[in-house]
Amino acid sequence: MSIAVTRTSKRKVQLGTIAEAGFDMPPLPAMPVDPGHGAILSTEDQHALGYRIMISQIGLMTAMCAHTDVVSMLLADVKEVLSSGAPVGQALALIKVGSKWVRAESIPTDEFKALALRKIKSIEEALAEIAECENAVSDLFSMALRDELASRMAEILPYDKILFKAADCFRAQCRDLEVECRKLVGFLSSELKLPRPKVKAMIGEAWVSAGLISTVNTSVYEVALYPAKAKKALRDNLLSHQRAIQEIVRQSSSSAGDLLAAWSAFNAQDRILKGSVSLMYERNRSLVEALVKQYRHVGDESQIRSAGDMGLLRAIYRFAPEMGYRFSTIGTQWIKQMIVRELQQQDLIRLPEGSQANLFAIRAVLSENPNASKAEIAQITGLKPDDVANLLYFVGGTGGISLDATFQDAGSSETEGLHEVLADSNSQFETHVDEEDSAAFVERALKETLTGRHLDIVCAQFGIGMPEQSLKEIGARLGMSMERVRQVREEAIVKLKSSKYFDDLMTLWG
Amino acid sequence: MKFSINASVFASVLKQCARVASRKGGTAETHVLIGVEANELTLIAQNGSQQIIRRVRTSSLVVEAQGHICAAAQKMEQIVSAMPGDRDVKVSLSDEKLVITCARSRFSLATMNVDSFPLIKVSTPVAEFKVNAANLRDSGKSVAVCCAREDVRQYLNGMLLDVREGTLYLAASDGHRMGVCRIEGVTGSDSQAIIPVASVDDFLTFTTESEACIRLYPNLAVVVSDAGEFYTKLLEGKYPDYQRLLKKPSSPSTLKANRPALLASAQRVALMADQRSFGIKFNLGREITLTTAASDIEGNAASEVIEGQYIGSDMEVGFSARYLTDILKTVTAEEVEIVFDGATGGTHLSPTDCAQQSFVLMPMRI
Repeated sequence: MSIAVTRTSKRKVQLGTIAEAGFDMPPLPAMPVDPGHGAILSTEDQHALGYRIMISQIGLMTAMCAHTDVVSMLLADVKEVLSSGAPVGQALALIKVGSKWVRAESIPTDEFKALALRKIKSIEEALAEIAECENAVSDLFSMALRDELASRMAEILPYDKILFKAADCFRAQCRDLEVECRKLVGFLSSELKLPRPKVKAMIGEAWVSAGLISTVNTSVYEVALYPAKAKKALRDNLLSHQRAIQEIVRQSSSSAGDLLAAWSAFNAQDRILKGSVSLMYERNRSLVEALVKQYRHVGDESQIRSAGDMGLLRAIYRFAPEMGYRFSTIGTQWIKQMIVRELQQQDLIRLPEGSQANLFAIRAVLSENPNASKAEIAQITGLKPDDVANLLYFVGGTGGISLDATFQDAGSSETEGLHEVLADSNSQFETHVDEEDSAAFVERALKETLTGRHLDIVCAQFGIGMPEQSLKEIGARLGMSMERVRQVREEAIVKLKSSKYFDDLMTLWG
Repeated sequence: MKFSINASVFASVLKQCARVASRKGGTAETHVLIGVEANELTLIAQNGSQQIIRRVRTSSLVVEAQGHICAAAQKMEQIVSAMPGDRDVKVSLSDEKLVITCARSRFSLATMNVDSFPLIKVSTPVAEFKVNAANLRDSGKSVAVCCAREDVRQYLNGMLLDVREGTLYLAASDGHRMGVCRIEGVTGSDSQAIIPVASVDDFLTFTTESEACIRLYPNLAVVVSDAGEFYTKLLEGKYPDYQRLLKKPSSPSTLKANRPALLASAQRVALMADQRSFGIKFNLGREITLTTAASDIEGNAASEVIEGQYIGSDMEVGFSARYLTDILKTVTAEEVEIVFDGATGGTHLSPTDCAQQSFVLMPMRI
């Protein structure tokens, strides 16, 4: 019997100089033809998709330049990761040096970090220059500044998580803007009874311009015939729509037209990215399935599969086509990694990463031969007897059990569970005894002091040894008036006050 | 003060001064200061932001008595211009009135004391350079088309003089188009100044010599010549980095076309363009056509096929017809080269035979 011992080993990459490790980014390759369900992509197609993914991500970076707030946020995120001491690859994936691109893991960390900081500084300088131009008009000079920013932004490719966070932020802002612009067009179109394209043409670039109302006046002669009140309503509504647009545009420090153009460029790049990623994903799902099969006996299959899918997605963004190997090389590693991590997450007791794989091996042996001795297991798996002894404890799983879980044995009811057999930490023995003791004392004292009706009424009125009752209820029970009951109660209290137990009772009741 | 001078000579000088003199009534600045010395007539006029000093030495000038006096510039100019050009004009001062006689005409003009005339005071110059006058005039005039007139960014309402290592760059822009001209062989120190658009014309054409000498003061620029001096206040502010815009795109698409033909085509197509944006677009590819941008609300359209050589990828680029024709008009060359940087990048336009001149035009989104 042979057992496949799975090990997650770190990929060892040869570190080189920028000249050695740098690579040229080709122009955007054509979208490969989908080989169809169940078929596998050729290496060339995988590389083409890999380049498409990288280039479209750089395209996203360029498009996002239109919103300086988003750029600042992205830079802050990158800088935070760089200063946190985490691997530099988790801040920036790629940097362009001269005409070559270098990957974070391919050159010494310090060198890459220095490069990253230099690039960020140059982007910040460009941002500062844009910030100096106080009015966000779209002209040659602001365009040149923006081009400068875009060209500098296109020289770094942040870690995918950072990039997508910024992209989400940009998307949200632009969607709002798009909605507001559409509202304005819709409003004018319904108000002036003009088709939307004509209204769009009339607005042109003047989304927030104060001249829009006069353009409307001159372009649509009917407006001149409106009564003054209707004209004012039109103007007020138009202005309120324009203000809404202005509000969104203000934070971006570019004009509404620029931002909308950037948004459409962003969408174009996003489509390339999504198309390439989804083809890569669909045609590499078999990798996930193959690995899920390996681990299927370890845990919930659907959970393992979803972890594997996540691993596949991560691997797609980390794929380095310039290195020349097939996607499965990195894909398998990542999927395996994510599955193992997922399994570890399920366990309450964390085991070192390597031992999880060993545990699988021991489990496999035990499932074949449940009575195997430690020595036998060690022999089959190739592990040290000590390790086997340590891990045997966890073979049954390291997961915990919920207090709310019910017993699944035959004969146990649905409500019977772990909570039934556990001690109630709120219950205290001393107070229990104390309470019982004082109740008996009160009962004895009252019985000795009071008799018959007196005892009955005091107990009923103050709820001693029975539920509390009102004067009326007691009266009805004993066939007495309310007033009489009250009088009898007062008599009883006087009796109690003169008894020898009074002081003790007062300490007890406070 | 008493002198006589040929009427046409006097009229031409007065005309130059009267143009500078303020037209707002009731101020000292509406006057021209007239001074005569041994064999020289000096006229000075100013309007608060400009000042002109013209000296005349001519054989027809006969000075009988020296002196200085101020008189209303516009009136003086009108009177002298109305005289027959070949006659001599006699000017004399009597009883605080300036008496102008020519043949049998006699005019008597109110005067103002010389001390009340506000002269611009200058400090020490910060820079001085000399440049070929004809070059300065021609290049400056072609570039000045691009000046903004009433922009909120004050510094754009003028023309930038930028001297760098023996080269004078003249730059003008209104944000949507920019003209830059390079004049080499300039002697003098590196400096920058923005000449207000109102003074650009006088500034460029003032000098009568082959070399213009320009002196810069902290807030003044002066053209110094034998025939006089022209002062102009400078615009404050930092001019945007125009050199950045001159960088040619990394992967350009180039169109070479006959300028007069292109200009005529653009003007024809623009007839149908939207009356606000004047949007027209180039459809660049195997065949080059110029069409109206689709933004016309009425749905009017025009298109024209242009002859030219185009090297580059197929694309559509929109421009304002007004800006494009303005630039095409100001260029004198037969052939122009247009370098496109995609549909959104600044488009470079330059005459093929004159590398010194270049224009950058901002495309319109279509």
